[in-house]
Amino acid sequence: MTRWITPISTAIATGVGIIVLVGYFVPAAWILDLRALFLRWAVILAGLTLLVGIFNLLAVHGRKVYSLNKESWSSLALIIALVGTAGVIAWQQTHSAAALWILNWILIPAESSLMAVLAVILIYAAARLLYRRKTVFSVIFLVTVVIVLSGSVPFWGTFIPFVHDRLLGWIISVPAMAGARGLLLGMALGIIATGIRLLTGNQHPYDG
Amino acid sequence: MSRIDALGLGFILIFAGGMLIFHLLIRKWTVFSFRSITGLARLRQRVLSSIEDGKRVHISLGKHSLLSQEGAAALAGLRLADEISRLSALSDHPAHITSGDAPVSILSRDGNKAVYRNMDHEERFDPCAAYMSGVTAFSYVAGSLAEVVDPQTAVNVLLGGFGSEIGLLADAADQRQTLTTCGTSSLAGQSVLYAVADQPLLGEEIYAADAYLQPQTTQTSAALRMQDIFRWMLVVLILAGIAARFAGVL
Repeated sequence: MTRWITPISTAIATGVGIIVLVGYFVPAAWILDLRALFLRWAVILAGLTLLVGIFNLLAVHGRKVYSLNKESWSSLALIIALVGTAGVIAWQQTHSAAALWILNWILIPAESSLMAVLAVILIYAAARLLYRRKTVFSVIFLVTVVIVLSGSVPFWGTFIPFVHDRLLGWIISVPAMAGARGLLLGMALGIIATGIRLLTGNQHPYDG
Repeated sequence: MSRIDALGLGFILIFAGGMLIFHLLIRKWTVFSFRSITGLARLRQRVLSSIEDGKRVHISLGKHSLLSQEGAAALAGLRLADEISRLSALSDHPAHITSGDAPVSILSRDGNKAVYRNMDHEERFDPCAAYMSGVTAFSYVAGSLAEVVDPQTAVNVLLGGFGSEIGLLADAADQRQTLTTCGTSSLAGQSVLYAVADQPLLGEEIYAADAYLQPQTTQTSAALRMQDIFRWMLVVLILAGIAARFAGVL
């Protein structure tokens, strides 16, 4: 049965995609209404898939707990935390003191500590860059990082005069902006190609 | 319709028409060769050799929403994930796919299932092989790290919509000395990857990844050819604009 469902789902996805795309260019009222309706449905569906994703995550970690290996303890901790948080929020609402306590004293500190680890990793990686990739571009990258950082942060309460006033602004508005626009133009072409492949049914990631 | 809207629609229609023409040309006459991208050059061989060694490929598709502008990067990652899943489907350790966005995780599971169905081995499909490892940026990274550092993982493919948090995954993969192919659509993520990873994919290279894994696909080749043509057209237009500005025409 699934074999003949694929062309139907491709036709629906293509049709909806074309209407949404045309809605960006043709300001006819009925197309704009239809586009808004389809986008609302997409947002609702995305919300529902979050529930499916969480149940899937529970199943993955439930299996790890059941397999009794060295990862089982962390999987068990995840399940207890997930069920516990869901229970607290279901019982006392999202803005309750208990829910905010979980957010402020567990979630935010945990994520902040990972952010701090990332900062350390980046400093270490930048220091290692010339060792692992000895190219002119690596040197330019490192010199630019040093200039931008030293121009952005005060040293003992004072900014480095020329670097902060002139050089930093020039780097951000000329070479960095040019590079970013070059990358974005290339990516925009890639996005258009991906979109066209979806709209023409060449790629259909929904046929399982 | 305003003039700029007409121009945008015309741009997309010409792009689509060009892709169709190249698709027909490639199918009839010739196979175009691709320029070398170091980050993708050894991916196919390493995926196949990891399967032979009884090891696993881990693919991570990022956390950006499919409904956002970065959704196209997740779709490019999904194409690559489908291809790697196809290559490793009948091995002892099929590919594992993690993501931080629920719709992307469902699509990756769907694609994985389709691979097994097309091979008439649907009974071997593992519903836990593709999953959402976390909802926020760092919880997703923490969940995916378990797969990245798993001793069974020989190849890590990090391709999709990541922010700067991709640095944590790329660094962990680097510490484990697995082959890592990584690319993201965000500029912050790309700058982090440039420092952390050996051969990061930059700019539009992430949208070309599946073509390097399966070079005989004519649709992908046609899309890449049109991207190259339009890129050169844009370069010429920008240079012409600069020249016109200098000449005082604009």
